[in-house]
Amino acid sequence: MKAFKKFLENLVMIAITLVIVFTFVEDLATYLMWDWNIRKVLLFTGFGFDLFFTLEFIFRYTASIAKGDTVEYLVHKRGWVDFVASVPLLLFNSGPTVFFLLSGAAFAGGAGVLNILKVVKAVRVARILRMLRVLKIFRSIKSVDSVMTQRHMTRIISTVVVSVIAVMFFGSLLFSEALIASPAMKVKNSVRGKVVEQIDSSLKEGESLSRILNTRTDILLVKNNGKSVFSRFTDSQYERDFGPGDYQYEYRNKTEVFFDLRYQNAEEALPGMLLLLTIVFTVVVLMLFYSPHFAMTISDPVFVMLKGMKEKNYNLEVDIPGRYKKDDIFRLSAEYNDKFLTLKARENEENSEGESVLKLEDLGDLSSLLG
Amino acid sequence: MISEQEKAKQFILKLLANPTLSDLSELQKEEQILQFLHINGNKLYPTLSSPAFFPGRNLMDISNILYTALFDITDSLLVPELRTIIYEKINYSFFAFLGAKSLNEEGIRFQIFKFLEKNIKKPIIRRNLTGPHRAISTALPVKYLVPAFERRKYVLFELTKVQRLRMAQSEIQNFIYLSMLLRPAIHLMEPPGKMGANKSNSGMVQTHYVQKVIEELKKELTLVPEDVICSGINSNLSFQDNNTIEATARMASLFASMGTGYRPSMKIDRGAVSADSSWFNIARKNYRFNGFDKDMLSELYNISVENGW
Repeated sequence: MKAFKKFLENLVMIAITLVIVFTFVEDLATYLMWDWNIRKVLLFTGFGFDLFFTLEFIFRYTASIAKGDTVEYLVHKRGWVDFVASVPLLLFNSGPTVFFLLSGAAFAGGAGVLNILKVVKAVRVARILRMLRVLKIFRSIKSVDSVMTQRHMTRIISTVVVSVIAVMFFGSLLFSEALIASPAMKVKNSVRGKVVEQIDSSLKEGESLSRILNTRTDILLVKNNGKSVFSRFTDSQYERDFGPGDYQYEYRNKTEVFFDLRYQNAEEALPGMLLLLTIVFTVVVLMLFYSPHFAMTISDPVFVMLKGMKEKNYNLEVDIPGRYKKDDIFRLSAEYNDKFLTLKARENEENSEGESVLKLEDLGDLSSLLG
Repeated sequence: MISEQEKAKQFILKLLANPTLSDLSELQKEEQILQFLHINGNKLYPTLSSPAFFPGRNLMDISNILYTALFDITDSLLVPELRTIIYEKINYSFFAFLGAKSLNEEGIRFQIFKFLEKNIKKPIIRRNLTGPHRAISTALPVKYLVPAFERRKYVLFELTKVQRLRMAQSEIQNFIYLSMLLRPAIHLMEPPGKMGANKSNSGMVQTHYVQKVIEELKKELTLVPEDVICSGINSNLSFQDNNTIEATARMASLFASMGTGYRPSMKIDRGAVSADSSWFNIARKNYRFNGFDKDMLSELYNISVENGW
């Protein structure tokens, strides 16, 4: 049972590491406009990760209910991170996307589901929550011996990461089309409608579309009365390079126009990648530079003093770095070195009742001695 | 049928096999086990008095059986070690500088070895040999004498100008080794002490008592120069009260005291000062209490800091 638990913990650890890399690769695929087939694999993989972490959360949550420490799990053991970084993503992001893909939404016939996908896209902001998975890694890493150091490091990193993600998440919601939309955004969105109107009137009056099509390179396909009047790519190219979310559908009267959204998506993927890099870099910097500083100036002197007070034969002084000697902890250490250890040495000298490094439990089973 | 002695031996061997004792000297291990038995005797008694071990024995009987087994095991390793120290490690050529007319090295070795072999049976001397034995077996004095000679400061001045030792560093080192081996002889005239005695009380002794011991020792160690005997026994005097005691005696006192708990392979925790520096710095603050030479401690402390020891 213990080995199985260890195996599961290791599996989760591997999954967390992979998903952090995966999160970056997924945005990179959009940014570099990789083939749809590759991005489709990434979508399914993302769904797999979301499902895995949702199951992990359900498993841990159920176990915490059984143990009667649900609050402890959700609040102190970062169960809320497990929840926020799994269930909303599965329900609002990867789940619906995979559902539509499996239900056969194709390029041409998929226009009906496009509005639903827009809804999914509206909660795409939930993808930012994936970044919280960086925090999950700290459950398994025991990089330092001191529980205090571990807790402080986790607390400071959680605070920084959650703050950054919260700003990004709520900022994205606040400054969206639904709430505070920029005039630029409104213009950008209305432009496509005007272009469709222009195409519709041109087709009615029998004018050539070449001027519009030459200036608007994002127009993929124009249909009139159900018949294709312009297509920028061949069907096989659409099949290879485009997936749901890579195009926008607009119509006026009997004119239907499909717009290429891949460039816009690529622009939107960039902040996601930078956000992930910012978070990972911040965590690494804190681990590499702040953690040793905390250990040197807080936990190490405390550890040495504690050991010196507990163990009779441990008489090492606390090393007091000159530039930090005015810190409270090192002023305490100086007292420990100068007074406590001095008196302890005298006490050890005077008191013949020593202490043994051997403990009673070291004896183990004595019956084995008698063969 | 296993004899009581065999059971006791097995029990002690099990304790000695504990990895926490692995880097200790034989006498340090013995001290740890004595302390363990002293602390846990009452808790172990129900098991040890059971039919499987020592049925019908009271706690004192059982303790004595265990102590005897412990001393036997320790002696089987300690005596050959002492022989190696006396016969191979220490060179007695420095006797010539102390006015010894003819140097009967074989006789000197035999006399010192027999003296120690006989006296380590006394628990009180045994306990006081822990520090010197450890300091010599880990060559503590050499570690500090070499840099002290290079620095040419207080330690060298005290050895060569005040004590007037016109000899090489290696000979002074042998002088200190022998002083440390003779240091426990201060208890020569005392009752042997209890078998399970823990650490001895290293309280300072009086000059007139020291003189008596020296006279007694001169009768036993006829081949050893008086200067060496005096250095060994005077190392038990407080430098605060007797500021003319030999530099070799002061060094013997320091290193014997340091050697008592010395663990050369001790892991230094992050955030802690190294073991030697810590010891010297604490000893500097307690110099009056222990009767150490503060200036000597300061120089040795500086050496330890400079070398990261």
